[in-house]
Amino acid sequence: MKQRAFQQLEGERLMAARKREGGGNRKMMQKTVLHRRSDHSSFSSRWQDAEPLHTDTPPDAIVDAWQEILEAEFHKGTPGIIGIPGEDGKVWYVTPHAAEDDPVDQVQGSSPITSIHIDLDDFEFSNGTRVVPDVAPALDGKMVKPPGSLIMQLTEYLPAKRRLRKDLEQVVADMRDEYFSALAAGDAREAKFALYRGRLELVRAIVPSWCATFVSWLVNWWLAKTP
Amino acid sequence: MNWPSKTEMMVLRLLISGGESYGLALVKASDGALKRGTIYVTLGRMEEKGFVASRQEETTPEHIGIPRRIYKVTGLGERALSAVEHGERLMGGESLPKAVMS
Repeated sequence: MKQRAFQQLEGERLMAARKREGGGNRKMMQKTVLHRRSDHSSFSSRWQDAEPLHTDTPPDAIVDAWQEILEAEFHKGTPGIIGIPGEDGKVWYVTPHAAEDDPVDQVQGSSPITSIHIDLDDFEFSNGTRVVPDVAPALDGKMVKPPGSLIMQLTEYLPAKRRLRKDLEQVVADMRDEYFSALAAGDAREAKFALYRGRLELVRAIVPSWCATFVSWLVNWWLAKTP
Repeated sequence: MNWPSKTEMMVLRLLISGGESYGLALVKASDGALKRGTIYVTLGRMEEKGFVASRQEETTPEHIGIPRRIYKVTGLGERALSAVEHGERLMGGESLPKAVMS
């Protein structure tokens, strides 16, 4: 099955490449869209403006990789970027999102991710065929912490009463709730707004409490000093 | 007796009508009458007065993030609200004087 799927894909790619040879100097772009069917057993694929970057990629490794990625993405539903190393020093970058020109009625299944868009890109790579699924939303390889992480860490060290900590936790929870809800809805502006508003609320929650603590400490100190 | 303030009365009404809830949900349900920045201070004060009780949200192993604190109205809170509302009705819908409330 895997072999057949790959052969089908490879055949279509080569056909598209031949067609392109007579097509002039068009911008080189390689991508494919894989549809997952409801029987979970096979993939159909097609190439758009395909250009063969390599022809000696081991079929099983690539098809295995696709299936692994599709499974991971389908079940987790987490958008991300995945690199599939090929044997010739190339990496196939996979980004899950629905392509606009896909016939949606051909796609079955309940997952919100209905198709996978694959880009081929030049990439220096130490030779190997292991698939490294990286579905975390990493930016330039850095781990991204959720908003409010720093303030939660700071409250461990800065003077804060237990009740204030409890309140801060809830303010941070609200901020994250609204931030991630807005991101999930694709509203980046609202997400940014939620972030700024949350930070402001944190300041509002912290400053009066710290001021009161400081004044109280000052008064106690003054009373202790005066005979 | 520490009677509930205007804001506290609003929180009590929301908790009575909507059942258990958490801070942000109360803010949203109040249509802007309650502020995000003060809701947790208010709820904390109400908890000290005994008008509301709180518990930590139950979490599952798959749950990610900070657990919410869920608030519910207590019997004392209900009776205090009822008493103040009764007093306001006797005043013809006017707020009770500060001297009465303190």
